[in-house]
Amino acid sequence: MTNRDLEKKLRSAFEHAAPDRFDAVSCSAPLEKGNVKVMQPAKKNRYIARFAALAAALVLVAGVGLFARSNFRTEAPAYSADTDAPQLPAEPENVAPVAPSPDGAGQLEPPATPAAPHAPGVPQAPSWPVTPDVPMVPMAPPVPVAPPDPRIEIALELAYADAGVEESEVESFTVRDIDEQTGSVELEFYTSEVQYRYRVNVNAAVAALLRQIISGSRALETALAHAGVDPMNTKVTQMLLDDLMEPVHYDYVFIYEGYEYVYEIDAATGGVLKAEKQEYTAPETPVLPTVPAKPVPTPGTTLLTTEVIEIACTHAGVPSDKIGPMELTMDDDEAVRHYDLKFQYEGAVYFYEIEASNGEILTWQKSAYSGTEFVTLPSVPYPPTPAVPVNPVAPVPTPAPVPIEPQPLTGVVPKDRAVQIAVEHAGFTVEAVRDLTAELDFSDNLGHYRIVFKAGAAEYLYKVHYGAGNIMEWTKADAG
Amino acid sequence: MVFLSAVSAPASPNAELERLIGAVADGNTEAFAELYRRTKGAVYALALSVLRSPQDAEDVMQDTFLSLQAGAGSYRAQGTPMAWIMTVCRNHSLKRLQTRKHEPLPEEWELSEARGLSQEERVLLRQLLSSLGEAERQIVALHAAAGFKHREIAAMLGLPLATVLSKYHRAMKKLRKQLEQEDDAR
Repeated sequence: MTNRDLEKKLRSAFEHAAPDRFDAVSCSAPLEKGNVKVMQPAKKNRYIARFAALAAALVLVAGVGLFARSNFRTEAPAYSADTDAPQLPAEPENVAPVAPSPDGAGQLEPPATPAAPHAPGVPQAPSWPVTPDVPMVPMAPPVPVAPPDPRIEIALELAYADAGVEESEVESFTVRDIDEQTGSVELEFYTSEVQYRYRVNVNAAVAALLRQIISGSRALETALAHAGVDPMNTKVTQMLLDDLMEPVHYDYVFIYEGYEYVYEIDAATGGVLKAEKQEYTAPETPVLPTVPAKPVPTPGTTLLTTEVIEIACTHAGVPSDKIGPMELTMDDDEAVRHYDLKFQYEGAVYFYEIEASNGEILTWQKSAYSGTEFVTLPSVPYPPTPAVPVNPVAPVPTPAPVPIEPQPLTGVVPKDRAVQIAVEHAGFTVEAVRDLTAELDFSDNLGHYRIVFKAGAAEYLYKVHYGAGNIMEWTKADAG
Repeated sequence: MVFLSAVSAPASPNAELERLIGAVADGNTEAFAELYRRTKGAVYALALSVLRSPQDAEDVMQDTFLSLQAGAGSYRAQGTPMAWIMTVCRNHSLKRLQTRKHEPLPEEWELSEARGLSQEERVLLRQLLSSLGEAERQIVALHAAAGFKHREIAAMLGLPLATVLSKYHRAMKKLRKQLEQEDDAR
């Protein structure tokens, strides 16, 4: 059943469920709500109001410049001239709550407003209707959000129309670029089956299709089905959209029952370009690095470069004899003399600053390849050595913060880790949040965890990269 | 002699609704009945999605249409009559929510058999009330029943568009799954 079919069923269900006639609704309501007030004909008022407006316009045109005192309240327009999105009508400003009448009967007359001076013969404009027996309750203030860029709304509409896609079929979209000079918007959007990339010239209302490929999840399904593996017990270790080589294709590597599979799936057609299988031997579990022993500082000396490399590799949990291209320089310019060390290992780039005199790690960074670019993971300064109190009666110093243990790059971020990243970014612990869900989503070409949770009065939505663990996107809204 | 008949383009649904509102303001009871007929599904859907009680939803429907009737004279035609109608409905629903003494019990979700609902429709509405979160119910009601676009719903509810899209898809997935499970169980 498609979304469209389900929407039709829902519409029909609501139509049938709603009472057929208005008087049937009145009959089912309690007695005090049954006092329907006969409407006062307002026709006359409308004509007089229109005549008054015309008269005012004529006076202005004649150049008399009299400011027509009128009873019409000017309301802020519901639409901004710059956007197509309709806004809700503004709440009336001068409405006073009306106390309930003693007998509890509802009243339907508009509340009395203070009489304002008005032109003779022009009646007061009717006020916004208010349910008089209950004070008007303001709607909950919306979560402040940046005003939507109307160009994006227009670009999406044009792109959907060109692609023949209904808005309800679109699962998500991304704005890749907005060219301020030409007024064009480059965007991508995904249905469950296809990923589209468009460049839309908003000014000219022209949408040009740049690329149309099958979704990552569909390509992965193809690979898994071709390999004949059980998706629930398969570990995907690599998922990458390779659009540097023709044909554009998805690269997958996954492990199932002792075998490693390597696949290439044509992104345009979904065809299998490459399928390989080999025996897989799991690598030894890497030993997490302990705090490296600080070399005993000898005044006036600096560490050897080999010692510096050992310190960094031990901290990163990588074998020092297998690291890739490396750069090591001494930095004398800053206050603390230190080594700058950069090296690569298994697709990640590591960068360390290590104090030259005692081997203390000042800062470190790791960048992982997200599939299209290198993404720098949060760097953490190495915790300072707790100061030894000089005065025996001095207070005990605050314990050093526990460093984030570097995760050896395996290409896959465990779900628990992704959840921890998201929750801690929001400022909470996993135990403190509620209604937590985390799902693996391959609908884009990167693969990410979609993590949703509630904390306090807010609901958070995070996308955490499947391979690198970086936060790709996050939103916060009022909890529904 | 050739008779030329002026063929005017069919009025858009919004223009039709505004014409009806104008007629209601003039005291035209037939126009009011027609306005009710055209919008009752959407109004009921929103009220039900907020209140989760068919009885309360009917009461709010009455309040809403009485307010519309009283306020039709002050409505300024700006092309979005449904947004105005749904605002009034949502206001009444939220007020009712605040004054209500207790949450409706699951047995109160059952809709009357006299309404002509099919079994599948009753199951669907029951699942909507029991399985979906508050925001999901409102988004589904506003999109499926009232026909608002996702970006319009995002503006109405004060949510980011991406959130509305993802909540909507998640909600539809849940409903589809529940329906399939009910089908399998039968």
